[in-house]
Amino acid sequence: MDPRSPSRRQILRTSSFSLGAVAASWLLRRDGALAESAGLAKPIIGETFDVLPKAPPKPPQARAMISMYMLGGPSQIDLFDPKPELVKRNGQTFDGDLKFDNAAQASREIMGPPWAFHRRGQCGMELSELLPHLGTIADDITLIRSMRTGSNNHVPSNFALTTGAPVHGRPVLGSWLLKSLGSASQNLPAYVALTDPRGLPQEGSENWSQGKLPAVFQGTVVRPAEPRIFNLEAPAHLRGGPQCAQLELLERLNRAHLAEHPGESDLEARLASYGLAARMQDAAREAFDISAEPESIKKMYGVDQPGTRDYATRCLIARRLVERGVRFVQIFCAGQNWDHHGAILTELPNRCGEIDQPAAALVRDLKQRGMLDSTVVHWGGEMGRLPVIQFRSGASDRKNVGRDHNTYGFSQWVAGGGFRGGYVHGATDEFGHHAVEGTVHHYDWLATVLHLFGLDHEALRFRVGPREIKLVEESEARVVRELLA
Amino acid sequence: MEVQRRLPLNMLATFDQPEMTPNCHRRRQTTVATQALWFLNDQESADAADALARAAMAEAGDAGGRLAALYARLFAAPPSGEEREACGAFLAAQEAHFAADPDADAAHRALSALCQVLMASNRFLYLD
Repeated sequence: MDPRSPSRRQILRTSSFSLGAVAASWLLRRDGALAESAGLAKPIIGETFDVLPKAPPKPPQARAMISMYMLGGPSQIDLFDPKPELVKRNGQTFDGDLKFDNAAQASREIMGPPWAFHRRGQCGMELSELLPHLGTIADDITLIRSMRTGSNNHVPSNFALTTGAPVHGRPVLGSWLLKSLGSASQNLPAYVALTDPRGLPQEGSENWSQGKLPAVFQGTVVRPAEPRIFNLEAPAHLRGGPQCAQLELLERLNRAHLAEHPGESDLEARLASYGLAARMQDAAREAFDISAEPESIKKMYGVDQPGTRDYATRCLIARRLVERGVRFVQIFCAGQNWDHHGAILTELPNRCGEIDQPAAALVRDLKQRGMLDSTVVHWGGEMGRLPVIQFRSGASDRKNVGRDHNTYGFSQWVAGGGFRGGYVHGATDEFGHHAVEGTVHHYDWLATVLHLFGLDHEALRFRVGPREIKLVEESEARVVRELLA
Repeated sequence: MEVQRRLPLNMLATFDQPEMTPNCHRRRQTTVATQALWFLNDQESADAADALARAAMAEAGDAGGRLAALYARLFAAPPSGEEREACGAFLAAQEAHFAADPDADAAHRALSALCQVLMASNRFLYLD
């Protein structure tokens, strides 16, 4: 046999197909690309799942969400949550309780923010000078200063905020939204993850994983550089008719196979993936191509500047995707590159410089297109940082110092989709350490987002074998109505 | 092949090469349309199908024999009557289509297109 012909075992080793779930012969038949004539549409045994649009139980305020996820933990103390007490007691010893992630480098030396805060917008929201562009949209955002997960490391706190509990393997928010609402776009993946060219986020694809929900609800990651999606063009001789015939035969064979393996939702997922792939060949090229955007728009995002180009491009793509009906878009940073245990004086300004202008432009652009009211924009990480110095390492200056983890009180901002503009919610103690007023726990945050999409966090459940899984497990979870317009 | 841990190769990334920072404690899997696009349109996939078609043509001279050879290699089983009918109709239609191009080996192209379908099928990719 020709060595180029892969064996079944080789294919299985290099690809990972044993997944998921989904359903959707409608996908293949929808565009007439695949014929009824094949006589395929046998009912599948058991419940089937798809991403066709579904109405939520209550009228929704939000229809789509873009999450700019700043993994690592942006310092609320230096960006969002000014504390005169820290400035006053800068250099003194902190005498309260502290929980460190890195005890070996820990100190109790208070470090006030080295950057100035200014009142911005009509609302007078106080924001750091490191985020000048955010200040220009202060009246459109809700700044939450009282986030709390209480799981003091990155992975658990990340999963608490995105899956409802600080453990691996649960479905993320985006997957729950797809399950409940489907997608207005049948030609693009309903849930798209845009990653950083410098690397995947910490925990990789688990950040867009459907957990135990059917695999049709998982996020699709695209390449972090052009071309964002490979293989959108069929080989010349297969284009058109032959490829349609291939897809038709493939569906017929796969349906027959599925009939012999009822309830295997991963098989259905692959069926659906071929239908979407066929339609994406046209739609995706257009959606991911920002070249036709006016220069003024590209400039507003910062596509024209080397420092902001990448993040600006991804923010612009996110807007184009939502415009075309995509339900959920996540824009990630590499690894957890807001994790400033050291060198916060240089690294925090670097991170802010990359994202500040694009993030603000995204909100402004959505607003000028009339899309902001129905699109939740989220900007935040999985934690904040401590008011004291980490990594003194014997040096007398603060050139290389940083701040350790803090999941007991941190900040994030949201805009659009029914959130209240120009509003600061909640407060931390006088050191910016623990949320003490209007605390928004991870489960409150998730319940609130679901509410804006017309969903009830109590009712949102999915049966897996003998038990039910929920996004929001805590009985004390509440929709934080103060945050809503 | 040199692979940088933080920057997975494109093809491997499409098929869930794990994140290796700081280490891989779990393999994760996805089933998404970008993978279907690989099977449909990638040169690698087309080359593998071409090679498999050539091998089947070397084994048998007629469509029925070639199909049996493919099924034996891929599924270790003969095609059912329904599969013979579906694949046979596909081959005949595609061969007629490709015959319009005088430079093409229509029989090979049609068989290669079939090989691509069979190798992309769930029966081939999932072990029972």
